[in-house]
Formats: sequence, C-alpha cells, structure tokens
Amino acid sequence: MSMSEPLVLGIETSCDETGIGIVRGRELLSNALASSVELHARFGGVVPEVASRAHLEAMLPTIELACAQAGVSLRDIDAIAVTAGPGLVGALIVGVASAKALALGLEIPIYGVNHLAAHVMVDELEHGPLPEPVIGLLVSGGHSSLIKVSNGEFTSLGQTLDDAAGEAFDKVARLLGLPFPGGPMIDQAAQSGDPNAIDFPRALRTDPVNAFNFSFSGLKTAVARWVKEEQRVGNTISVPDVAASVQEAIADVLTSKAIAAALDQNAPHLVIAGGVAANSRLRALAAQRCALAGIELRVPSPTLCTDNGAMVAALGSHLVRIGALPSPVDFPATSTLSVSQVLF
Amino acid sequence: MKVIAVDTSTELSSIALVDSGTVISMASHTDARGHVEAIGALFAELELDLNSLPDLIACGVGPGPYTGLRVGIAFAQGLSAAWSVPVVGVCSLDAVANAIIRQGLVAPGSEFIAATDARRKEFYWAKFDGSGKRVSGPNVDLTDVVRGLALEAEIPLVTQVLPHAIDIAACAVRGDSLDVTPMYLREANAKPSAPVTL
Ligand SMILES: [Zn+2]
Repeated sequence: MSMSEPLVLGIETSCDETGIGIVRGRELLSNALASSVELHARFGGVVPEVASRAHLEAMLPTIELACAQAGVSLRDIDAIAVTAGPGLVGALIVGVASAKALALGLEIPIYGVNHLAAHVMVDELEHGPLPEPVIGLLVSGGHSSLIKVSNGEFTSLGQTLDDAAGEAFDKVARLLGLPFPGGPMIDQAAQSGDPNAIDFPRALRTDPVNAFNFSFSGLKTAVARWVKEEQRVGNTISVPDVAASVQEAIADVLTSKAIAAALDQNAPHLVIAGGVAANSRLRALAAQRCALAGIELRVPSPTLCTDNGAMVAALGSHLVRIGALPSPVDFPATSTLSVSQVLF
Repeated sequence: MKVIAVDTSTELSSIALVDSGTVISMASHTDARGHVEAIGALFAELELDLNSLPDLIACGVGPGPYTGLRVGIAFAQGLSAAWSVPVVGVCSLDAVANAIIRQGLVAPGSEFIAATDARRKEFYWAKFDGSGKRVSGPNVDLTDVVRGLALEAEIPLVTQVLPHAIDIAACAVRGDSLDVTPMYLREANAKPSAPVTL
C-alpha cells in the first residue's frame, strides 16, 4: 500500500443495500453494509419506498462503521464516489444527496458513477488491475448483462429481454414454496438434487440474432407448467430435483453465452459479478468451461459480488487514477443509465 | 449562533445561512422533481467559508412528498457527518407558520391552519396558535375536510405559503426542533417494484 494513493469513499444505494466502502488505491479498507432485505421478504420483492426509507436511516451509521473499520476519519477522505444509476430512483437519490453533502462539506471531488461498471471494477480489489479487453457477466435480481471493457470503454454486448437471472431464481423459489430471496435457497436445495432430472428450456441458447441476450421468463412458465402437470398425475414433486434442474438451465445459458462473447470479442478474461455470481453451480460450470476455452476466470468474493460500497469506491479510485474529471455539482440520479456512461 | 438550514419538503428547495437572526446568504430553486440536482448548486451559491463552520444544521423533516423530502434530510445529515456539527429536524409546517406570522398573513394573535399540497386532493396541515406554536398536527387529510375544519372553527386556512430554510433556521434557534426523522404520515406504499431489467 502506498499512502500517496488517494483514499476514496464509495456510496451504494441503488436497490435494498446501503453500502459504504473505503479503498486506498486498489486496496480494500472497509466494506460496511446495511440491508433492508428482511423488510421486503414478505412482499416477495423489493418495495422501493421501503428501501428508500431504510437507506436514509442507515446512511450515517453505515458511514461511521465504514470509517471505524478502515481506521480513518472522514477528513482523511480524498474523493467520494456514488452510484448515480441505474437502479430505483428514490433509493439512488438518498445516496447521491448524502454524497454531495460529504463532497461539498469536505471540499473534495465527487464522482457520480455507473453501478454496472462498478460491479466489474470491484474485481481489481482482489485480483489486481483489470486486464483488457475483458468480458463482464453481471447477474443479479436486477440485472443480467454482458459487458465488454476495452481501452477503458464499457460497452453493452447484450442483456436480458425480460426477467433478470436472479429474478428467475426468485420466481421459481416462490413456485416451490421457498422464501425470498430465492437464489441461495435454490442453490441449497439443489445440492441434493439431480441437475439432469428435468430438461428445462434454455431460451435463446442458439439464437444468432440474440447471441448475447438472455430470456428467463419462459423458464418460470415451464417450471410452473411442469409442477402443475406432476401434481395433476399425482406425482410427488422433488424440490431438490427441480431446483438442481432449474439452476443447471440458468448456469448453462449464462456461461455458454459469456464464453461465446469472450471468444467472439477476443477477450481472454471473464469477470462474473452480481448476487447470482455466488451461485455454486454457476461458479463451477464457469470454471470448467473457461478452463476448456483458455479464458481466465475472475470471480470476486461473495460480499463483493452482491451490491456494496466497495465496488463504487473501486470504480471511483480507478477514475481518480486515470485523471477523469469529477462530476458537476448538479448531476442527477437516474433509474436508467447505459453502461457506456461510466461517469456523469 | 450560526445555523445552516435546508428544506426540500415541497417544490421549493431552499438553503440558508443565518447568524443570530440575520440572514447571511440564501438560495432557492423551484422544481417539483429536481431536488437532488439542485441541492448541491444551492449549497455552492451560499459561498460558505468552511474555515468557520456553523454551530448547528437544521433541516425540514416534512411532511412533504417523500422523494424530495429525503434529499434535504440526507444532505443535512451528510453535512453534519462531514463537519461533526449537530443536526436537528424542524417540522416544515412550523416553518410555514413562522413565515405566515413574519409576513403578517393572519390577524395578530389569531389561531390558524397552515397547509401544503399532499397530492391526491389532500393537504398536509397543522393548527397553530397566535404565537405560531403548533397546537395540533401535522396530519394528512382531504383538502375538502381541512377546508371544512377551518370554516367550522372560523379560523384562517393558509395554503399558499411554502416552507423556506430561513424559517426552518428560526424554528430551530427558538428550540422547536425534533429528531431528524421524516414525517411520513402515510404508510409506505407496499408494492414491490416492477422488475428493473437492465
Ligand atoms: Zn447490482
């Protein structure tokens, strides 16, 4: 660690996690998190107003925790980075307003940044400088995208046409009577199931027009239809078998498309991030297929894969390093923001 | 006592630096949606000398439309953290009442109701005594209901005054301060988000 590298505080409030992270250069100093996920569980999805209220309450305690864990005071911070989009606008606004106050009050620069780019950039904190070109596969309850980073430019190669991968897990979990959020529950149930028990559809698997796009809404329908039919004929449903088969279908589509993108774009590196990157089958299948294809696989630790403040700080630190101009004082929070716009 | 005050509980976003009752500088902007864009620029307009920090930060905690309301509160909290200066909340309708008396909009000593737009044909409202002290509320009710209450009690209903940071500062200094917790008055609309697919 070099003390001359800038100390950057990152703020993340795009969904239901209030995240504050502090980095020095590429070194992670703290990653404090307050989650409102339990408040949303009974609704089976994130309720924007509930999330926004929770962000405002959690903001100061989480900032204090992050500073304490990093052993720094706010007065030591050299720059602020904050998620400006994409995400839930009411939730984003709490982070952006807090960040502007910190930056103006401390008289330091502020970077309003792209959440998706931050998901990819966080990998630098664990695995060192990001090699380019690199493919990012972002999979969570809110996003399923394939991104290319080349010469510092982020471009979108494809995304889901309907449900996000994490949403597919949530919906299938609900069908099987498993609680929200569904991803970890499906993963757990799948451990004792047969991934080849049921041949669920792999939408767009070989569709050349949508080579790098995803579609997961049909999967949920297929599972619902299958469960109904089994019940009709009086068969007992094996939750582990359904979970393992669904997980296999999702992991298969995600990894095959990510590797196809890497080969197509001559990018021999793949970063997988987002909450679904914690899925054990996705990780195993990606490792196996990347090894076969000669692609380096980089997957951050689970706490850096889900939404967090450190990823925003990591992207901010990168922007400081390359000499990017800070954001103007009147930059907005916006629900839709293309990954090609890394910074306001 | 030097106070920085902020209010974003209505379409009027405002910020002010007030020292012992004298307004040193202030800035405001009217936009029902753009609070988070405006707040930083308004602060910059104050041209504060950060070598001499204020003694207190005060923010309007509503009632008011939630998304805008949270901008001012988050901003005030952030300044408080950056400077290690205490922050207090002020009921935004108390600031409206302060302005009503300051501007002589009701007869001296008269009770009155102050109300602001709560959308859905409703008012956020509270009742005040002649000194501007809140005697009931804040509440949220249909505009017709609030009009009826004012008629029945034969007291003025003032609906055209918006809370401003200079009145927030005045309320905070005279001790009408609260926790920094938004006055939501309505339960959170508990509908999960339409999936954000990106
Ligand atoms: Zn995310």
